[in-house]
Amino acid sequence: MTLPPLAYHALVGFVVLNVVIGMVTYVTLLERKFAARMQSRIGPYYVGPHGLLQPIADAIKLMIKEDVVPTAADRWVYNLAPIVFLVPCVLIFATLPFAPGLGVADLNIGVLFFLAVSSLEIVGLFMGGWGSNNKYALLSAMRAVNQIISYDLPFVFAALVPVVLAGSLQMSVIVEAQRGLWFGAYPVIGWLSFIAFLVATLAAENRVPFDILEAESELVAGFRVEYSGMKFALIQLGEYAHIIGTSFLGALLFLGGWLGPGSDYVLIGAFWFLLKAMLVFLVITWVRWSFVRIRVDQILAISWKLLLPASLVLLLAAAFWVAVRGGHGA
Amino acid sequence: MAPERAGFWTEIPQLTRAIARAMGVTFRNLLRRPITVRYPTVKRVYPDRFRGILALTYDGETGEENCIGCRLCEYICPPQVIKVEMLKAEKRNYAKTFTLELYSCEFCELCVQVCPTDAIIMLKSFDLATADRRELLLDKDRLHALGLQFEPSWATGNRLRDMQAPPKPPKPAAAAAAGAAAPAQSSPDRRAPEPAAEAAPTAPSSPDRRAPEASEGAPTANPE
Repeated sequence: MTLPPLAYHALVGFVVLNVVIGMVTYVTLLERKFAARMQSRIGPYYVGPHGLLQPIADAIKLMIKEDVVPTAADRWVYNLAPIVFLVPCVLIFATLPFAPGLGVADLNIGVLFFLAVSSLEIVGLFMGGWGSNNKYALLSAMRAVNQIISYDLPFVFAALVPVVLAGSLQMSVIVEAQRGLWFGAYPVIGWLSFIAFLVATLAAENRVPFDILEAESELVAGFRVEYSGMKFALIQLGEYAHIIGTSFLGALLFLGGWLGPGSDYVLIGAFWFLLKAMLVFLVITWVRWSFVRIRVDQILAISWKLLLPASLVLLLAAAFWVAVRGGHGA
Repeated sequence: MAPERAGFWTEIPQLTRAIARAMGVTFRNLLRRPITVRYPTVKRVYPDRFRGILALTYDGETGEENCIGCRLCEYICPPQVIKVEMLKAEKRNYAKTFTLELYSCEFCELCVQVCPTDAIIMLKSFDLATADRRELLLDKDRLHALGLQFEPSWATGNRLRDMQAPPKPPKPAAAAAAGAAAPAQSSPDRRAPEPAAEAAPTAPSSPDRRAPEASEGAPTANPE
């Protein structure tokens, strides 16, 4: 490698960023097709073969749309919010190793970085809700903050179970520790913590059934009600990037990341990783089209009364098991 | 919150079953074929009593216009979208002009029901979309052209009125019984109790419902 390290990382970062954005664009098509089949529909069909060019058409449409700023909006906050929202959502891909040695930066505190940065999106979300100067947007943003406070704890605790089992915060080490048995298939502790992780993921991404912040019947479209054109596109991009990033994290922590037949080759490993992440994403979509939205008090009850104690107990059980066995790894 | 009083923990098995059921429903749908009919390219078979675009008809044998300009449809039209002018002639009358504002039509089929010569009918089509409202202001020529363009619906004025008449008595004994109820035939919109009612137990009380099985030419169940 003749490139200086900084340039090399910048190049890899640039490639990963564009791949992520392209993937996020196409994941919307995947979700729409999947949702359509669940409702016995076809979904996007006419733009390109079987609607394959639909995301591009949508992106172009959003780019050429008029950008409306409400008169009473706090212009600075309002214009800055989509960027503040998008940056953490894309930044979470920085520490993900897509295959052995393939990734921007395999930090030794990768999981911590991911959890910390992914929670930052709430700042941009609240800025958008506040800056829009719209009561629906503000209510939605307040609900989102409420929810993120409740669900970040179980999310983090559930994500820490594989960390304890593997004995490292570095993502590649966690993957390698699952060579014998995926943590998602780990008896009892792994199963339960995977379920807890999925539920907390739904809530942290504000997905159905925890999507009170964009409850159409009451809050129109949530905090992004005043956004239009490219700013709206940036927010959508950030949201889907967050979902995809968390799906990748779930696949990495619980489904063995790039491990699979032939994973010694980088590309095959990356393929397995992508496949597993899409599986997690499809489960999240499946949940979305199966349930109705639940009430605020129910959401909080599930978090504080069930998920948080359960994930704490799971974390303690994992620690106890590691101590009893006297070693890390599956 | 009611679940708390019932016990948050005791409801968890029930909740788990509910989640499994809900996700099972969507999963079964996922394996099913989509039921979408790709409308502009594929058109589903419309039912025989479809109420679509209105049109005027020609006589099948002589090729003459059926409309005699009697203006019954104009009088009965609730949104008053039909305007007819009569043209007096020697053997029969004609419609001098016949205007139908389809954009205000409510597709109630009353004009079809009153038409004495089966001149105005409904078609099995709802291709109303247009970029110009004036294209839905139909005159006599365009109504005739539409009638040739699309498949007509089952209902015509005479067929609908036949539904109101009591079925023909099969035996002289029954004919005598039907003769007692003869005044009932003079009120076409209200069905009086009569002995032949057993023959068509599901007979409608209003002419715009579906045809009873006993009546001649009734549409059979549509085979999708």
